[in-house]
Amino acid sequence: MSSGGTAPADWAALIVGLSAGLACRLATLDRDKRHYPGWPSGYVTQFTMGAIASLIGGTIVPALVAKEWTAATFLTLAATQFNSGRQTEMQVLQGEEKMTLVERGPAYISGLASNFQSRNFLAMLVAVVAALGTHLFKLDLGVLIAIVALVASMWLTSGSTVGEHVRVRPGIVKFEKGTLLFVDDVMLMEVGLPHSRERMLEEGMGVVLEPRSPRGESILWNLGQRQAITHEAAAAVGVQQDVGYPEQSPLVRMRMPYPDGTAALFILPVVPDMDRLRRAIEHTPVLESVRSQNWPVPHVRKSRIQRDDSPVGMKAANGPAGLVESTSKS
Amino acid sequence: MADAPTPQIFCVVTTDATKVAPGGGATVLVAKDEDEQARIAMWISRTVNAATHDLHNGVWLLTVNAPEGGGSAGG
Repeated sequence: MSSGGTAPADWAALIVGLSAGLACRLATLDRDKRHYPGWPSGYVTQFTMGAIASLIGGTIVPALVAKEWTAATFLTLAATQFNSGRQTEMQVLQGEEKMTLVERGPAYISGLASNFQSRNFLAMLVAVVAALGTHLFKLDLGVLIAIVALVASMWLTSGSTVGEHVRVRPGIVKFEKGTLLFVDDVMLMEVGLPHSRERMLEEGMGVVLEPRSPRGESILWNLGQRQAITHEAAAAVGVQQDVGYPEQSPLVRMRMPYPDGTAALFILPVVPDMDRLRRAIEHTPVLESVRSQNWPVPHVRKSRIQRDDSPVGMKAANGPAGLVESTSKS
Repeated sequence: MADAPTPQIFCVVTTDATKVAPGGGATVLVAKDEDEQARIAMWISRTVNAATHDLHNGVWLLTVNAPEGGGSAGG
């Protein structure tokens, strides 16, 4: 890029920028508890892409200072590469879905691939900011600016988890009317085989998901988010499921009829550890597609509930604790 | 959509042939009692990855997901 006769490069800016970008990428790599990225190939790939992004970000400022204007075109090249990296990541994850018993779902995959792309861009931006700060304000202040940029990037990438908006508590697994599977008062599915019902009662676990706010309710109504919760639950405690046993798959369903935002999850675990299951559900990330939703959730029509004096209807009329009572009409 | 199953009726297992009208398109198997009905339904569900549903009138439906649906959704 640079031929003889140009001004000496600002190595301090380059090194500080590169280091800050690398640190940013390392800090934002997801933990292995969520089984993504895979070890070691996934980690190596993501770290290498982050290193390339950091190098581009750290190099841009010294290059432009040295009036090497063609360096700016590397930014567009980087954008194109990261975009194709995101597409590849999505294809790889979607290909894995066919061989996964409990799928992540398209929304979760889209979120993971977007994270992969955006965190590379973030590493590049942090590197640019750190390099610029070092170039303008000398090394000490440049390092301080790099640290501030690093902290800001970690704040930017920290999303909320399901547990912040939804209360997770154990529920009682039971069958009503012979074959209808319930967790507390949430109906999940109909199970026809007597042998399957026996196994579900003996070995199944149920949890009830109660929203703490309308935000929590909109999280539970989102199908993609529910699939992500199911996937994380299965990853934490295992699932006694194989091809040929569809009724043993874990599932999350909303309380119906007379929805009040409550949902329930049923799972046949390999490791019957309720605390582990609750923690996994609470730490499930809220997907970006859900984060952007802020529409009013379906409001239960109180007049309809008051006419229904069945136990389910009476409980719906009283409402769960913590749910904001809205007077808006859906 | 992974969480939203798209079931299709694969076959019907019944203890009373008069409860099922012919010409519906699904395979109808008649069992002599409830034990045989449960056994037939269990073997078929393991073979073709079907979910079993009881209509509470002696008729059981076995459903499978439509080809483009997700394999992990049940019920």
